[in-house]
Amino acid sequence: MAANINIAKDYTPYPGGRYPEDGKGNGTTFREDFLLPIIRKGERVDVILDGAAGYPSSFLDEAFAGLVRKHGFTPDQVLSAFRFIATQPGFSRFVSLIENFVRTATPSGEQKRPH
Amino acid sequence: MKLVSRKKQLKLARISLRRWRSALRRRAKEHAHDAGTRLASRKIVTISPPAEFSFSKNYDATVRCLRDLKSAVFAKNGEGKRAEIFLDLSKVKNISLAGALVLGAEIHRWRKQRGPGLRARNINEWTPRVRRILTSIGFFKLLRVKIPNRIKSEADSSEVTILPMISSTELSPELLQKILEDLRSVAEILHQDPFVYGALVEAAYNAKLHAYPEDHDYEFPPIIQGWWATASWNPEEGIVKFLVYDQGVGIPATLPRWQGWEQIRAWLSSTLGSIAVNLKDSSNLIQAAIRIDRTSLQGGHGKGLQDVIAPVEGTPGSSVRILSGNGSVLYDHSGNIEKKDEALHIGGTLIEWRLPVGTHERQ
Repeated sequence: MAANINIAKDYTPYPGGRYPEDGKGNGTTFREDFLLPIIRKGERVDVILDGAAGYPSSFLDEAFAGLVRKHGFTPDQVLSAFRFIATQPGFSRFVSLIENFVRTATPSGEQKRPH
Repeated sequence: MKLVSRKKQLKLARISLRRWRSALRRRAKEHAHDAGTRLASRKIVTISPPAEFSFSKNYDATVRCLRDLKSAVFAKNGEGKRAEIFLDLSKVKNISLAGALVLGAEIHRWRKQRGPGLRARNINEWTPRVRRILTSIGFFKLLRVKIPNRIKSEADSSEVTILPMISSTELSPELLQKILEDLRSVAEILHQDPFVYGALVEAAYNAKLHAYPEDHDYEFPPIIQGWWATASWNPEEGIVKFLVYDQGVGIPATLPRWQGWEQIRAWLSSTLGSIAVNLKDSSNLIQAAIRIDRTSLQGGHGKGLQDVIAPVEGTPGSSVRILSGNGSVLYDHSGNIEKKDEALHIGGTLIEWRLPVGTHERQ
């Protein structure tokens, strides 16, 4: 079990975009490779946001709110599976954004792509 | 058969040779005349940009010039040939960074459309400041024209640092991060701002996803379908600027496709009155898109716009200007919005962030 997920070190320091065709820092790949295995096993890990250049909303929404929209988890399940570590100046805003995106997401089955 | 003497044969041969030579001369003369006529009739379209090449100070003349350039690039004469274009920059006294970026993007499209063969003609007659800005932004590199070292050093001596324009048809977050890193290498006071990174990435992402719909009836074909970006640092003013531009249809034209369109219509109707009038106003549509995104339940167009305005929120003295389609929206650090609608379409979306450095403490 991974004790934590350090996005900048384990995935990319330059996150951006929603879909695999958007490049290697996209939210879908991060969700499927890093977040889904954890939440499916019912585990809980720390997600370290520090170290990245920043977090565009498209990435955060697709990665975290995508667990609700595309995989049917409840917002509470998502937010209790991951604890967010953000100590760099300004990074706490990204935690608020993730929580906001997850809480306002609804399961949508064959939902149209948001963009 | 009549017998011809040897002497007579020689005489006839000489006459025949004279006639042949004279026919050759006549044909050569006619060919030269035709060529001269062709040369005289070869069309050279001269585009003369206005003395003030700036969207904020001289919008109409600047956009009209860019439209003339695009028209000339795509126009063909009656024989299906393209006219030669001379972009005479010698009359330009001042060019803004935004103007230089958009002009650079147009030159990029020109080059892509017509291939190599562009050349700089009268650069010694250009205003030195204009030459410096265009050199810094990579104008000559784009033209693939070698310029004298004197002009290169002229650009290096400028007080304002301007980063070479970058461009991509992909999202390329790393490329955008490089702008921030390059600017930090000259402006040590500039700290990494995660919101600027997010804003640049979302602006480029909006260009990639929305700016170039396939079924749109384009006046000028968007051959490259990408984005262009640059940045500058003015130590005297303590200001950094970041700019991202695309040659797409503009935000207002993309909104009817967005799932938040009905919310935009409802917001405009409740806030500004007559919906029939307001839906024509590009600036209202851009403002509504920013507004609706704030409350949007699902991800979408507007979440990107929230990222676009995030770097200026709570940072005194900062602002972001969005020129898109015919609309102009200036959003400042306290959330005030200045709107304007122009007669001419800018030919895409231009976003310009203006951030003070040093007093850059987020409130």
